[in-house]
Amino acid sequence: MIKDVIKPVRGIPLKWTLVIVVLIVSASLIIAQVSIASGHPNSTHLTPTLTIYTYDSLINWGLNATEANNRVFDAFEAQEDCIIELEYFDDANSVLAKAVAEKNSPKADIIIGIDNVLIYEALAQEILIPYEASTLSDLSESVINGLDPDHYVTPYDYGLIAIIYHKHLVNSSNVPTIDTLKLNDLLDPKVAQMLVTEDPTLSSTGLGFLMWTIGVYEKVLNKDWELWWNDTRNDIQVEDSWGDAFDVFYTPAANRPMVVSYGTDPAYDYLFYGEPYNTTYIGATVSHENDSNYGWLQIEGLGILKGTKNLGLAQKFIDWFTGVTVQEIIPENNWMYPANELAKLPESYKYAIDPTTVTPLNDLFTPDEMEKSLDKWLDTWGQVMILGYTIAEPTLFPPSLFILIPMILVVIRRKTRRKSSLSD
Amino acid sequence: MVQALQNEVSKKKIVNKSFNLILVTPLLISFLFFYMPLIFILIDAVLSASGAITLEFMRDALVDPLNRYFIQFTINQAVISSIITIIIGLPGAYIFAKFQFTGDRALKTILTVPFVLPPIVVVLGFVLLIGPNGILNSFLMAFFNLKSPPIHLYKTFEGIILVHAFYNVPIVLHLVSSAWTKANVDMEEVATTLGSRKFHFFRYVTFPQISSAILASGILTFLYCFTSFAVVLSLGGIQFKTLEVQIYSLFHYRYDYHQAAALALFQLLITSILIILYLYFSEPVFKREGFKTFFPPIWIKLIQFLVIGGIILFFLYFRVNIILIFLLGLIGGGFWKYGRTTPLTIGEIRQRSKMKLRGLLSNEKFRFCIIIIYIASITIFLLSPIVIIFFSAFYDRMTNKWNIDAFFRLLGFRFNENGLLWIPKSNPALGANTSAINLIFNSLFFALVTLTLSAFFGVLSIYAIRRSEFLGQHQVIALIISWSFILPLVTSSITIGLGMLRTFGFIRISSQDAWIPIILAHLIAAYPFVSRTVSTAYNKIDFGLIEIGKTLGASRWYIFRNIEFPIISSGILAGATFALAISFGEFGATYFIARSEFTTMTIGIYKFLNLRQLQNSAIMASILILVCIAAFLLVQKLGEDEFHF
Repeated sequence: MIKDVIKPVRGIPLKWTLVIVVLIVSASLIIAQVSIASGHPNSTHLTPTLTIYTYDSLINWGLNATEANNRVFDAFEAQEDCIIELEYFDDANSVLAKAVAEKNSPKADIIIGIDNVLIYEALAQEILIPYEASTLSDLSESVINGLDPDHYVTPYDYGLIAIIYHKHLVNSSNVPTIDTLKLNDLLDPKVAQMLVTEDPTLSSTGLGFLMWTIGVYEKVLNKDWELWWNDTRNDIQVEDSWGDAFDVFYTPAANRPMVVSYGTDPAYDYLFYGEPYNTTYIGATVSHENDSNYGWLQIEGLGILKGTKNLGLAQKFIDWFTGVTVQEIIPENNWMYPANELAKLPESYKYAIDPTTVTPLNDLFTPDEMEKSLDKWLDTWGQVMILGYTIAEPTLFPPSLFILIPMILVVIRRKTRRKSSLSD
Repeated sequence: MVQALQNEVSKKKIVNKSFNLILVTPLLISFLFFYMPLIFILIDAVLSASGAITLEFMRDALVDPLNRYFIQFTINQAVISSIITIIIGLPGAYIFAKFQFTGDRALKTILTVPFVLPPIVVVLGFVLLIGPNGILNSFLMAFFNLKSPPIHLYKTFEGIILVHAFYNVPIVLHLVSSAWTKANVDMEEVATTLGSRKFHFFRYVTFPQISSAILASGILTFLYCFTSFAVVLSLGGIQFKTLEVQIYSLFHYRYDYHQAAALALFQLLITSILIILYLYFSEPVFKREGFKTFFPPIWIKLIQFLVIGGIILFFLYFRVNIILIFLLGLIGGGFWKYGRTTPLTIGEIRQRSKMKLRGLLSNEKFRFCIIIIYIASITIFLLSPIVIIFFSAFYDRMTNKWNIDAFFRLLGFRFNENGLLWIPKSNPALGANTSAINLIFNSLFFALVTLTLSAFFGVLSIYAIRRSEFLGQHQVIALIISWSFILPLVTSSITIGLGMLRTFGFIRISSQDAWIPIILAHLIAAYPFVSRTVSTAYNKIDFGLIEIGKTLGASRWYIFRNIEFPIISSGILAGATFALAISFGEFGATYFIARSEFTTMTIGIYKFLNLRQLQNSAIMASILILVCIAAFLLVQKLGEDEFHF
C-alpha cells in the first residue's frame, strides 16, 4: 500500500510560537491570580472564616427560609465578627463522605448533620474532636446519650422516622390499616407500590428506615429482616436522597403518595396549607407491632473537625447552635424537635408524632452491635435489593459452560477434516 | 562480532548524545508522575495490612455477587450500546462515503460535535429533552392527555443505551466512512465488469476492506461505554452501575479502599486488552500481517485459542446474557470468515468519484427519500440535545418564560441604579467560597496549564523516543516503552482519580495545593492524545533533510528550529487544542478528587443537575459547549482531520 500523500505543511514560525507560549503562560498566571482573588471576595486577614459542611435542606423548609437562615448564620456572623461559609451536599451521608475524603487536610471547621447511625463511621474514621458545649446541661440527657455520650458530636435536634402519606390518596378505603400500620402491611404490593424511600447507603433518612425494618423484624418479631426487603424490592421506589424522595411524593404524576420521612411532617403541612382550615392534608405513622408503637429515632448533631484552624470560633458556634435562640428556630424550619429542653415548641407541633409516645427501636441495639454490623447490613441491603434474597452460593462457572463442549468438538472435527482434504 | 560492533556503535551514540540524557531525565520524572497513582492502586489491591502480597482482595471483589452483577451489567450495556451505535452509524458512513451533496463536509463536521462534548453535558441535553419534565414528555403528555410521562430516561436500561449511542455514533461515522472512501476502486470496477452481483460484490470486495474499521469503531465504542461514568452516575440509580460508578461508591461511601482498588485493577486489565485489540485493528492490513510473521505460527494459534477461550469463559463467569454471547459469536465469526479473505491489492488508492445525491433524485426516487430521511433523522437525533441546552439556558421551564436575567445573575452581574455591577456571590450549591465565575476560572486555569504541560511533555517524549535509538534496541526495553505509552491511554478517569487521591493522601499536601493532583489527572488524561497527534506529525518529517543538514554542518538546535519544528508545529498545536478540550470536559477524575474550591465547570453542571437547577446547569453547559466546539473546529482547521480517538 502506498503511503499517504504527504501534504505540504504550512509551519508556524518559531517566533510566533514563542509569542503564543508566553501569552498562554501569562494568561494562566493572571487567571490563577484572579481565580484566587475572586475565590475570597470579601475575605480580609482580620475576619476569621468559619467553613461549615451540611446538607442542603438544613433550615431551608420554613415559611421564610432566607430569614431563618439570616437569624441563624448572619446573626452569628454579626455577633462574633466572622464570616460563615456554608457548603451544601445532597444528604448527610455525602457530608460525612466529603469530610472523610478531606481528613488529611480539612477545609471545613464544622460538619452539621451527623446522626446516631453515621456517628459510628465518623468515630471510626477519627475525623472529629470532642467538645462539651456550654449548653450541655440544657440539652435532653436521653438525646445526648442516644447520640454520643463522649461529646464528639453535640445533638441539636431529633425526630422520629415515619411514613407520611397524602390523606386524600391513602385512607382506609385502599389501606384499611393505615391508622395502625404494621411493617408487614407494606408487604401488600398495592401498598408497597405507593411508597418511596431513600437509599440507605446515600441518605441518612433511608438509613433510619433500614434500621427501623431491622429493629422491628430482628428484635420485635424475631424474623429475618432481609425477607421484608426481598418481598418489597420490586414495588418500593428508592431515591438517592431525601430531597429527591420528597419531590416524588409531591409530584402527582409519580403516583407515590407515601414517603419515608419524619413524624413532624404533618406539622409542616399544617403550617403551610392546613392552618386556615385547622387540619392537615398529610398523615404520619410509625410501626404498630404487638399493640405498641415502635419507631426509629433520628438524632442529628454537629461536630468540630480535627485540624480546624478556628477552634474557639467553632466551639462558640456549637454553643450558639444549641442555644435557645437557634433551637427555637429549628422546629418550624428544620422540622425536628429541638434538643434543647428550654426551647418552646410552636403550636403546629400538636400535629406531629410525639416521640414520647413511641418506643424507640434505638434502645434495642447496643452501640457495639451497631458498630460491628452496620457495614454488613448495608452490604446485605444492596444485595437483597438488586439480586434478591435467595442468592445461590457463587459457583465458579455456571452449567451453561457445558454448551461449549459440543461446539468445540464440531470445530475440531471440521479443522481436521479440512486438513485431511488439503493434504489429499 | 556483529554484536560487539553494535555495542560499540550504541556506546558511541550515548557518548555523543549526552544531549539525549537531558531529554530522558524529564521523561523519567513524568513517568514517575504517571505511574505513582497506578502503583498505589496496585499496592491497595494486592498488599494486605500486614504487608504480605495477597490475592484475597481481588478474589473477594470478583466473587462478591453484587460486583459480579455490576460487571455483568457493564459488559451487557457496553455490548448492546456498541452494536446499536454501529447499526445507527453504518448507513451514515455509507452515505458520507458514497454521495456528494452541498454541504456534506460541513454536515459531517457538525455531526461529529456530540463526540467532543463532555458526557455530563450530553446527559444534561437528554434530561432537558426527554427527562421527566423534558420538552418531549410534556408535549406528549399534553397531546395525548397522559397522566404520567411516557418516556423514562432515569433508571432505565434503554435510557443509558440511548445516551451512549448518541455519544458514540460520530466515531462510527468517521472511522467507517473514511475507510469506505479509501476502499479500492479498481477492484470494484473489475468486479462490476466481471458481472458481480451487488451482494456478492459487497461480501467479497467491499466488506473485507471496511471490516477492520467497523471492528475498530465497535471496540472503541465498547471501551467508552465500558468506562462510562458520568452518564451512569446521573441516570443509573441503584439498579445500574458500571464498574466505574461501583468503584466510586465503594471508595466514597463505603470507605472500602481495597475492594475499590481491586476492581480498578481488574478494569485496567480489560481495558488494556481492548485497547491493544483496537490499536491492532486500526492499523492497515499489511502492517498486521507483519505482526503475524513476527510470532511463530504455533504461538499465534495458542494466542488465538487463549483470547477466544478467555473471552468466552469471562462472559460466562459474569453471566453475560447468553443471547448476547451468541450474537457476538456470530458477528465475530462473520468478520473472521468474510472480513479477511481478500488481501488488498497494491494499487493506487484514489478518491472515488462520488455519486451526486441530486442525480439519485431523477432515477431512484425511493432510495433518495430513504437517504434524505436518514440524514434528517440522524441530524435531529445528534443535534437536538445540544440545541435544547442553548434554549434552556435562557428559558425558564418552571414559569414558561424567557429568563435572560438568570444568565447574568449566575455570572455575578447585577443591575442597579449605579449601572452594571460585577459582584460574584458564592453559591452554596457549588460549595463554600465558590461562585459560578470561580468554576469558569478554575476550568480555564486547569485547561491552560494542562495544555502547556501536555504539549511540552508530548513533544519531549516523542522526540526522546525517536531520537534515542539506543533505548529502542533492546527488545525488552522497547516493549516496556510501548507499554508505557499505552497505559495512560487505557486508564479510566476514575482509576486516575483513585490513584491520585491515594498518592496525595500519602504525600500529604496542604489544602491550598489541592489543585496539583487535578492538574496531574488532567495531564494523564490529555497526554496520550497529544503524543499521538505529535507523533503523526513527526512521521511526516523527511529524515533525509535532517541528514543533509547534518552533513552541511548545521547544529542540532538549528536543525530542530528550521526543519523539524515547522513541520511538527501544527501537530503540536492540534494536540494542545485536544488537551484543552479534554481538560475542559474532564469529569470523572476531577469529581473524584476535587475539593469545592477547585471544582470545574463539568462538576458545576452535575451539581446543578442533581439539585434540579436545570437552567443554571444549562447556562454552564452552553459555555462549555462553545469552548469545545471552538477547540474542535480549530483542530479541523489545522488539517489534522484524521481522528485520534
